[in-house]
Parts: sequence; C-alpha cells; structure tokens
Amino acid sequence: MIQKLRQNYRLSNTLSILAFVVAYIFCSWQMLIYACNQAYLQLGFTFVQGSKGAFVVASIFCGGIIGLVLSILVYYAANIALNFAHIYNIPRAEYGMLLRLYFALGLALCGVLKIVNYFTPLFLVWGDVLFPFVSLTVIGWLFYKRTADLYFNSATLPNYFKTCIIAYAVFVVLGVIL
Amino acid sequence: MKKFLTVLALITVLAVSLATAKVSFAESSAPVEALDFLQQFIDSRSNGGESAFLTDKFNQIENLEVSTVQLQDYDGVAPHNILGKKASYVKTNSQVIIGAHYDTVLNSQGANDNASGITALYLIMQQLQNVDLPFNVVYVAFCCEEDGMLGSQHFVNSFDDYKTFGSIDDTIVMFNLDSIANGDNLYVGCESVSTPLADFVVNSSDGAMTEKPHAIGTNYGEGLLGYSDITTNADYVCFRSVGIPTVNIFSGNFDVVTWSYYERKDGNSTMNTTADTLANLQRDGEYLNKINAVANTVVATLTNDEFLPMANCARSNLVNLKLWYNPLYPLIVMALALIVIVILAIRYHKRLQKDSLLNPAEAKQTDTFFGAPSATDIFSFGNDSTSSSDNADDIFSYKD
Repeated sequence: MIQKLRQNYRLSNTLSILAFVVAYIFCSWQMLIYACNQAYLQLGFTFVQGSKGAFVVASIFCGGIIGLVLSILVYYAANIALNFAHIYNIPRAEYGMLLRLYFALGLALCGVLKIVNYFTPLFLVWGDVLFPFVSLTVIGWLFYKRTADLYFNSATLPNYFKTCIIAYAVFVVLGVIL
Repeated sequence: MKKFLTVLALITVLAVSLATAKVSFAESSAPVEALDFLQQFIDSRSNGGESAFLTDKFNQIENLEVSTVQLQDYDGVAPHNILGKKASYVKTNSQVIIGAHYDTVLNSQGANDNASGITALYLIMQQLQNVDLPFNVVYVAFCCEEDGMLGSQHFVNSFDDYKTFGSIDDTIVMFNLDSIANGDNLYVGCESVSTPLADFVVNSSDGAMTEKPHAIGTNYGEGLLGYSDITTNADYVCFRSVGIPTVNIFSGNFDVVTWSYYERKDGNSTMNTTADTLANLQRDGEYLNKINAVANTVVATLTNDEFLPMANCARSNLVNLKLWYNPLYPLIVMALALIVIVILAIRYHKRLQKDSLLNPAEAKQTDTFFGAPSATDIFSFGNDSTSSSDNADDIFSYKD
C-alpha cells in the first residue's frame, strides 16, 4: 500500500490534503462551532436555528473550506521559508506534501488533547494556549528529523535547522497574536 | 357539637385550600401590568420615542433620582443612557447596578430583545421603590447594545460622569436582563465555574431559573486579562471586564453536544431579526411569566438579608483572578518554554556547525518518497555511477 502511494504522487498529495482537512476539523471543532454560533447570533443566519445537525454541518463545511485553504497556504509558506534560507536543492512538492502530512499529525494530536477541554473550563484556558504549542513542538521536531535525514547532509544541516527554528518561532508568535 | 364540627370542617377546608393554593413564583405578580408596559414601550419605539417614554416611566417611580447621560454623536444621532438612582437608608458607597438595553436591531420591534428586559427592569423598580436596602441601587437603561455595547462601554469608561453612589470598586454586583422572554429556559450566568452568587440567585428564583452550564461555550478570558462570553455577549461583559461581579439573566438553550446556544427548540428564534415582534413573542404563553419571574428573582435576591455579605465576597470568586482560569499564566509558561527551546536550539545549532566543520560534506544517497534523482544519477556518466559519493572527477571528467 505504502509502496503504491510512493509511486503515485498525485494520489498521495490528494490524500495528504484530505488528511490535513480532516485533522483541521477534528482539531478546531470547538472554535468552528463557536464561529458558526456567532454568525448565527450576529448575522441572523436562521438556517441553523435550533438544529444540532445544521450546526454540525455548517461547522464541518466551514472547517473544510478553511482547512483546504490552509493546506495550500502551508505549501506556499514552506516555499517562502526555503527561498528565504536559499535552500533550493530539495524537491519542493514532495517537501510540501510531507509538511502537510506532519501538520495533519500535529492537528490530530492537538485535537486529541483538546478533548479534555470538553470536560472542564480549566483546560480550556490552559489547553487553548498549551495544547497547540505542545503539538507544534513535538511534530515540528519529528518533521525536522525526518526531512533532515531525507534531504540534508552535515554541511547543509545547520542552515536548515536555523531556518526551521526561525519558522517555528514565527509560527508560535503568530499563533499567540492571532 | 354540630357547630364545632362545622367550624372544624371549615377550618380544615380553609387550611387545605391555603396549602394547595401555593401560587407559583412566576405567577405571583400581575402579568397584565407587564403586558401593558411591554405594549406601550414597543409602541413608543415606532416613533422613536422610547427613551422619552422610559425617562417618563423612571420619573414615575418613587424615591428615584433620574438622569440621562449622552454618549458622543454616533451616526448623526446622540444616544443616551437613562439612569435611576435609589439611595440606601444607610450611608454607604456600595451599590448594585441593574441594567437592560432599550435599543434593538433595525426594523425590529425588539419585543424579546430587549423590551422584555426593560419591562422586567421597570417591574423591579416598582417593587423596590419603597423597600429600604442596605446598599444603593442604580437602574440603567443602556442604549446602543446592538451596535457593539456602546452604551454599557461608555458607562464603564466614563464611570465618574454618571455620578453614581460610588466607584467601580464600590459596585458589588451588576445584574443584566437581556432577551428574557422568548427562549425556552431562563438562565443565570455568572462565571465559568459555579459560584456562590449564581447559586444564590438560582435559589432565589424558586425554580424558575437554572445556572448556565459553565463548561459549555461560556465565558472565558480573551486577551491577557480581558473577559468575554462566547455565547451570550451582552452589556454585562463591559462591567465584568473591569472586575465587577455580574449576573446575566437571559433565556434560551445550551446544547452540551454542539457547545452552542440557541433560543428555541421549535425553531421560532427571533433574536436580532425583524421577526422579534410582540405577536411572535405571544405565541409562547409563558413569556409574561418569564418576565415576572426575572423581576421577582432579582427582587428576592436583593431583599434577602444574606445577599450583601455574600455579594461582598463575589469579587474573590471572579475566575480571572485565579491561577487556573487566567489566560495570562499559560502564556507566561509558553513564553518560558519557548525561551528554553530557543536556548537548546542555539546549542544544538552550534553542535551541528561543529560537526559540519569536522566532517567533510558528503552528498547523500537520498531516500525520497518519489525517487527524485540524486546528484550521483545526474552528474555521473561513468561506470561507477552507483558510487555513493560525487567528486569533481565524477562530475566534470568524461570517460569512455
């Protein structure tokens, strides 16, 4: 199965986007429902009135669109970071797909951790801040190790590591600001 | 003996009648009066005279000092908050604020949102007008709630301009009455955890209200020390943001499955729509009982002897003062963790640099997913193209 996927880039890429979108919805369902609820309250969207099913469908739909956009942005963000670091000797499409897959893993991990939020407001305060941070750190390290093994040697690794750390710090700070 | 038995029977019947005639809390006051006020207030809206109507009604209440404070011009009009100040029988700066907004969205009667809250406010003023309380009471009809809580924001930001009995610190509790008639259930929302204040109000409601499920899409900190409410953003948020304990009374449903708030299960939700009319509100036969229940609950809460000592402790139960509920603390933890990670990363980077200097750089036999050609495959034309390393000879020398 894995071998077949490795021989079919287009299918793998599509599956990685799908995994990303599903993981994003799983990770962000609380926020998505909140956003839909706010839209309902503020804009008078009456189609979701009193219907749990409509709320869930609207949330999944919104999450799907946002996830799709983010999955594309992830690829371009990686390209910008690599260009910024003058790293040109790696297969960009493959690298972007790997990044998307690892992001999907991170979102899934974050989603699992966020389930705790459902039970207590305590972790909604701490979890909202720390769960994404922990997930990003863990998955970021794993992604770095994997790509370092795949594409870089001892001469190019310091530059790549520096790029990864800067990208990670920017991502964390942006996450807090946003 | 016959007479005695007759009298005994009469007494028994009377006693049984009294015992069984326990009128429910919601029905104990006169709903007709609430309906009259509600109807008149909605009518006054049709010609833009709601603030004049309210000022007039406030002036009819005994022992109340009425004033208005104008906000700055907004969209060419000059909206204002209407205040009624009722002094305590003791000399004190402590005050309770009871508020409801009197504006509504464009082209809407706003029967539920928030003529119902204003009606309850008026009923409370009526019931308390001749009651001596050990604290001052400030009644406020806020303007511009639908425009982003501008009225309540102005009240909090320009607290001194309103010349109330005390400062923000002297305000022990703020009650907010918003959209209390059309939702299925009446809720009391205080903090994101159960608090003595919420319990107190719920107990005073005689079963008419329940506490908002505090783990469900509810009020948590936003920003560093701020405060917000996810599902029922209303005027009280401005007061809560400056550290005043609040009691938000509203109607609707909380869904524990979808973490959502909605007004009615039957789909007849009207909030912030043109369908928020008195006719639609009257489809729910309980709407007047809900308004009366809210008014009676607030009155019962304030007239309870235990209210003042309990309310004086309410500030200590604000969740953002607690370690576990203040979002500032996890941010500090995250910032510290980030600093540690950066320090470790710098050390690791130095080690990588050292390794790269000590070890000659070697082109790797890459193990890419999709078999991207390696440098060896591209640049080596000789028989030794399977060699794992490239050198200048491999690349630039042509071999036969």
